[in-house]
Parts: sequence; structure tokens; C-alpha cells
Amino acid sequence: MPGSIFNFWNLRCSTFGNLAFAAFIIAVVSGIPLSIAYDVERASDSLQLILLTSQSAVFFRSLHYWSGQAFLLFTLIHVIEHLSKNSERGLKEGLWLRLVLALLFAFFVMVSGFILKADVEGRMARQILSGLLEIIPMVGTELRIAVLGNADSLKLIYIHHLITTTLFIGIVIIEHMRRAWPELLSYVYLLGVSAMLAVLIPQGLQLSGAAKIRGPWYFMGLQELLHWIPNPLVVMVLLTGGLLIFLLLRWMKGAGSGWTKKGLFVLLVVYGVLTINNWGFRDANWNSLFF
Amino acid sequence: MRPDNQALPKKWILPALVIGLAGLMLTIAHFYREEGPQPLQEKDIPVVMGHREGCFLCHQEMTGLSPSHDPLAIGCSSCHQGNPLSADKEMAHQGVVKVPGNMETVMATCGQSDCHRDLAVKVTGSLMATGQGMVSVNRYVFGETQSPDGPGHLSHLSSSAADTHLRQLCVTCHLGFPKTVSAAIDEKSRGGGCTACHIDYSAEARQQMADYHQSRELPRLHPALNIKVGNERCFGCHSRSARISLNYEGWHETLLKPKEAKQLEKFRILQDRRVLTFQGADVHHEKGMLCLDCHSARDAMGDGTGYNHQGEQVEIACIDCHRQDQGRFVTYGDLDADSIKILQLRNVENRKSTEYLASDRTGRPLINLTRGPDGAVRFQGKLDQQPRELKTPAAACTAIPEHDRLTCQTCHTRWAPTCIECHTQYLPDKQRKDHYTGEKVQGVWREYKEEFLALPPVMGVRMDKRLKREVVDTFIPGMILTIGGISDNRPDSNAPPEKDPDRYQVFRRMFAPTFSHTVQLESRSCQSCHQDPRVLGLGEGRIEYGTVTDRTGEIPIQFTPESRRHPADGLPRDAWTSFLETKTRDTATRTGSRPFNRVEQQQVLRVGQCLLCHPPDPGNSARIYTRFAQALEERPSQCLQTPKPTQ
Repeated sequence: MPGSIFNFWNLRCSTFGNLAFAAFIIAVVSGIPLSIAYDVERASDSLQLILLTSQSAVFFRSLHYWSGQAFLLFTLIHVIEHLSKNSERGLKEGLWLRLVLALLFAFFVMVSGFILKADVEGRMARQILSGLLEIIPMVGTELRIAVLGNADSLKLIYIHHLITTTLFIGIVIIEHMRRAWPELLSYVYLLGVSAMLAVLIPQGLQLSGAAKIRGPWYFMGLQELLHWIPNPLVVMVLLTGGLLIFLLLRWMKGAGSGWTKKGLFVLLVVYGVLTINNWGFRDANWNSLFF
Repeated sequence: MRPDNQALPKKWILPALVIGLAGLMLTIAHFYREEGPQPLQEKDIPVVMGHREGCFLCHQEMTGLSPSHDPLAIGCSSCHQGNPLSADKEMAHQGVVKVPGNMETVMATCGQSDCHRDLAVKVTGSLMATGQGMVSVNRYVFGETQSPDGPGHLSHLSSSAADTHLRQLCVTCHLGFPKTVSAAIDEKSRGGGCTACHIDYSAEARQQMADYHQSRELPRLHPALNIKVGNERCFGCHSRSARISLNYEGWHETLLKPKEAKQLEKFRILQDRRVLTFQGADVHHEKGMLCLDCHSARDAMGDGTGYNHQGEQVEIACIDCHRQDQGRFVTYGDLDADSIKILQLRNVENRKSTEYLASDRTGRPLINLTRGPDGAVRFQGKLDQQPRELKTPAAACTAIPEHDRLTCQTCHTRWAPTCIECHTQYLPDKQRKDHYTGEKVQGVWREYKEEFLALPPVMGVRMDKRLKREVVDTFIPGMILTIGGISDNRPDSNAPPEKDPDRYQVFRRMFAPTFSHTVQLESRSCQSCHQDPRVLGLGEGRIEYGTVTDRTGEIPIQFTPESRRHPADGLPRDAWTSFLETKTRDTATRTGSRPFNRVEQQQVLRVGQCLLCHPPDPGNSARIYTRFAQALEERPSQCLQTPKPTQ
């Protein structure tokens, strides 16, 4: 059944793989003019000046944002498509490992962009991520410094966002797709939709803590988990366990693989419900209308 | 399945082109639409409150605000929200709050964490914001609750008969009622949260705002935000209901129409067309004192405690100023942060070396009452900073032991607005605006008033929760009221009131404790209390004393009412209680308030009997009234004969 849905889509539109690739390219390209105006030493102020003084910079920033969201969304759908067709088994072991790592990097490149806004939300996201890394036994502090750098600087995060993760993801995509360029139509789709969203829903900054402080949509479920599970180490263990199970899918066979995938899908649905609760039903004081 | 590197069939290219084209057109439109102000450079956009304030691109010429609210210090968006990071007019004004003080947005504006959070929390829970007493008493009167004390919030009303009544007639008079238009405070102003009291339009600012409403030309002079809260800020709401703002200035509301006002000797017509006649102002008003000279910030904005009724929130008492003892004082260092801030804003001289009187009721500082050079309390006007003489209570105030239950206002109230009878009727066929939602609704509550009179208040007994004892206080008819058509406001009703009006009528005879704000220097005469049946709660009428036959027996007294009797309870229409009877249930709009009981009526009238022959001159006061019980025992035989009758 899921396979037929993907086939229906693929015969009428660009494939999710192509769309994700195109979104990645657009995000990279739109990030170039943005990086010229962005000053990591005075991140928030430089972004504020961009918003106030340059219409084109406002547009490119929003284009960068929306294409980035599309990249993550289509990547996730593309992963589900692969798993539904059991095509992960056909991948070489090394490539599978790199792809899983690239998926992790994809999340990081997204959240690092969120942190680089350096507004109230960005600072809060950095604090949470920093806390989660710190809590890892033995290597937590070193990992936190390696990923996020010094607490008073965004420089290392900026380098990872701009170079480390972007390069790695780009190389793995090309290796996986076996082409350096996605199909032209996927650009047309992605540019069209991203440009429309950039114009109609431009991205600002959250200046005040009075309004509801939200994480990025893909981490809203994580925020909920941290709310419901008081010990963040437990959350980290759950996430790491989930990632390991996902990694081992390549070597699983028969019913075990099927049930594991179904289990992961259920967890994904639960995560989605938590995300919806956070996104739509929590007020500024973190009270939920739901539960 | 189509692999990622296989081309899409040509027929599916068109949707992609349509979407791509739409994106392209929107992008072109985005770049060609009207640009924001030019030139846009870093130096044009100051940093305030830690961020760039783009509002200055258009509104940099705005003046008029005090240093603490200077746009260069806090920007525009701190109060007005919106998006200060956009140079696009439309986007910059998205989410703009026109009237920042409104309660619904106050925690994001005045009450945001860097500004007045504590005050905003107190105000949102205070009676001026919740109207809790108003809601709970109204529900009690309509028979929806068993007590006049209870939960209730004017911003959270239901669709019950009582709440619908409030929604249509009363709900605008509370801080939670939002102001939707920026305008100077006038006689018709209502609500608006913080701005209800703290917005101050100069004449020029008022003119510029008026011009803006006419021509949309942006004002350049912002109204000031300050704590110079003049009486006009209280007037809009407090000229209604108990009408204390009118009373204080000596004005009494009539039922006359504006064209009929000329028949009055001294009259005033309000913006809402009510006609007032002059009855004599409060002595404090005559001395130039303002509402806030007596009422502290805590009185007005609350102290964080949830009170049921207005009188409970007020901490000031007459004896704080008019005292016989020295009082208790606190130093500047002992003051709370709000009091210190107020003294700083008022730039009060020598404030750090001054001692401040602690309120007798709450022990909290009253910052315009200080210790004078002679050690006694000294008063200073809060706005004019002028000292005023404080009278100590006259000897008569404390000479009579039986008067120790009396509040000051019992004797010193000049008059109180008194409505004798009214009727509230639900008219299901009419339409009216529901102030709560702003929409027209089917079914109207209409009030029919009989008469407004300016009379000395009635006396009764009230439980003072702060003193934890009963006191004799002033009362007015909270309502001698019939309500018709209640059932027709309920969804299950289908019987029209005209077919069986009595079936649905509610009758209430409840008086309300009042401080009418018509204080006079002179006291009421002894006779005006001890010989006036109306003051005792019996209504207008004639009292006749019979022959006293022995020294211990009850006085035979007759009372003949003047008013017709109300068919609902058989009492005279202007009465509160029955002659020489004790009524305790459903007599007042406050728990613990009641009319005089049988014994108290007798005690009051017994003095009245003596006053027939022994006027309260100093000699008689010393011989009789300051030692009344003993004097009764020592009565000569001629006191045991029939006295002459009195009115």
C-alpha cells in the first residue's frame, strides 16, 4: 500500500529523492548571498539589519529557510519510501552507514541554522541541545564543545552549518544519487513553492520572550519528550536506541525487519502527535489543551 | 516505479511550470512593490531593549513621552508590539496593539517581564479588572447563587439571565473592557486597562489625535504615560453605580432630560446626556484634594489579594489622617519597591529622610502621610505636593461610649444618592448591543427608575472584615427592585411574561453599605439620626412616643409610615426593615450587613425620646448623653410623662 502511494506520486511529479536534492541545492545557493550579509560575531544584529535594510536579503533568507525545510521533509519521505520498498538492503554497507550519518547531519544542519538566528528561540534551542550533549556520560562535554563550540560564540556552529555538514551531506547525496544534479523539474517545483512561501510567509526573528517560544517543527516532539520524561538522559538513551535500531535495519531480514519497521513507524506517529500537541495546543505558559 | 534518474513523462511537466511561474511572478511582485523608507542605513535604526527598532524609520519624530517611556529607551514595539524588524509598512504593523494597556494584551505590553510585571499581575486580579463583587451580587440578586460573595469575572460571563443583564448594562465599567480607539479620557471613557488611568493627553496631543482620526495624518506628539492620575481618569466608571465621582464634586444625578435642566438652580449636563444638580461637595474636594490623595496605588490597582467587594480592597480610613494618637511610622528603607518608585517619579523632596505613616488597617505605608516636625501626621497632596491641615476628631466623636461602633461617615456624610424603587424587565422582542461581544443580541434587559433623591444615608450594621467586628455604617438602597421576565431569558422558557407577569417576577429589598464621598466638616445633628425613622431604615413617616410608665419597661413608640406599602413584602416602599422587628435574611448586598434589629432600634429611639426635651448642648451632653445608661436610672419623675410627638 505505501509503495503504491509512492509510485502514484513518482509517475506524476519529481521523485522525493530529486525534490530533496533540489531543495538542498537551492538552500545552499540561497545561503551564499545570506552569508555575505550575515556576521557571526554580531549574529542577531546583522540579521536584524538584513531584515530592515534589504528586501532582497529578506527574500533570500526566507528562500533559504523554506528550501531547508523542504530538504528535511522530502529527505524523511524519501527514507520512508526506501524502507517501504526494502531497498535499503540493496545498498552497500558503507554507503548505508554514510547515509544514516548524513541523515543525522541533515537534522544538525537544520537546527544549527535555527540556532544561528541568535534570537530568543535560537538561544533556547542552543541551550537545550547543549544540555542534551552535556548529559552524555564521559564524552558529553567534549562532544558539546566539538559540535557547538564555546558558549559565547556561534563561530563553530556557523562553520559546521556552512562547511562541515553541508559538504558531507552534498557528497553523500551525490554518491547515493549517482548524479551531481537533480532533474530540472524538481528545481522548478521547489523554486516555485519556496519562492511563494518566502514572499507570503517571510521569516522574522523572535525578539521577546513574552510570546510562545517554539523550537523548530522537527524538534517539537523532542521538546514534548523532555517535558514528559523528567530525566533528559533517558530521552538521549531512547533517541540513541532508535538511531541504532534504524542503523541495523540494513542487516535485518524477514519478519524481524518488517516488525521493526512497523514499530519505528508507530514511534514516528507518536512523535507526530507530540509535535502537533506542542505546535497547536500549547500556550505561552506551556499549558496544553490536550494533555 | 520510476527511479530517481529516469525522466518524467512530458504530460506532467505543465504543473511544474505553473508552480514555477507562480513563484516567479510573486517574487517579481515582491521586489517591485512599494519600498520602505529610504535611505536605510545602520545609523538610522537605533538599538533599543537589545534589538533594532525599525519603527523609527517612520516614527522617529514622536515626542511627548517621559524619560522612562522614551522611545529611544524602550522603542515603540515594547508597548505597541508589531514587527520592529520589518521596513514594510504592512508587515511592520502586523500584530500592532493600538491600546497597549488593555488587559487582554497587558502581559505582553506594560506587564512584560522587563517592565511592570508585578503590577500587571496585581491589576489583572484586582476588583477594577474583575468586577467580582459586581458579578456575584448581581447573580445573587437574580437568584442564581446563594451568596453575594463568590467567584465572578466581568471578562468571563455566561449567558445566564444575571450575566446577560451585566453584559448589556454594566460590563463596560471595568479595566478588562478593551479600548479600541486611541483617544483622550473623557466623561464617557471606559476600560482600557492601564491606559484607563495612566494615559495623559496634553491639549496638543488631543488635537493631533483628533486630526489623525479625521485625516490619518500621523500624530507627532504621543500622550504622556504617567502617574498624575487626576479625578477625570476615575470619572468615566465611577460616575455610574454608586456615583462617587459625582458625589465627591457635589453633583447628584437626576432623571431630567437635558432640555428640562434649566429648571434647576445649578446644573451640569454630562457627555452622556445625564443631568446633574448640585447638592454640596465633599469637604476634601473643597480643599482641593484628588481621589488619589486618599486612595493608595494598592487601593486602586489591588495588592495581589483577591477581594470580594470594593470596600474590602480599600485600605485607607478616615482615622489614618484624622487621628488622636501619633500613629506608627516606617522609614524610607522600609518602603516597598512600588512606593519608592512612586516617590521617585513624583520627585518628592527629602523622601529618603522622611518617615511615612503606616495604615491603621493594613500596616502598609501611606506615602503622602509623613511625620511632621512636631511628631504628628502631616499630609501632602500627591500631585500638587501642597500640605493641608489635618483635623483631629472633635471631642464629641469619642465622648459617647455607645458611639464606639460608629464609622466616621455615619455622622459626617452630607448626602447620598438614593433611588427608591426600580424595575428591571427582560424584553424578549427587542434587540440591544451585548458589550461583552460587541454584537447585537435578541432580548433586552431594560431598567425603569422611579426617582433619584439626594438624602442623608440610612444607617445599618456592617461586618468590617479588617476590624473583625460589626460597625454602624451608612447604607443606601442597593435595590428595592422587581425583576420581570427572567424565565424568558432561559432557553427552556416558552411562556411570554405578559400572560403571567407575576409568575416570573423577583422582588428584592436589599440595601448596600456605601461611602458616598460627600463628607462634611459638621456632624449630622443628634436628632437627624435618633428621631428620623428613614435613617433607621423604616422609611419616611411619623414617630410618636407614648407614656413611659416605669423606669424599666419598654418605651411605647408608634410609627406611621408615609409611603405606600409594597405588595411584595408589605413594607413601605422606601423602608429597609420593619418597625421594631429584627430582619436578618436577604436584607443587604453584602454578607454580614443588616438593618438595625429590634434592640438597636429601641436604643436609638430611646435617645430620640430624651432629645425631645433635652437638646444636645454641652450641658446636656455631659449630664445625659455621655453617661446615658446612668442618666436613665437617675431620671426625675417628670421624664415619665407623655412627651410631645415629633416627626
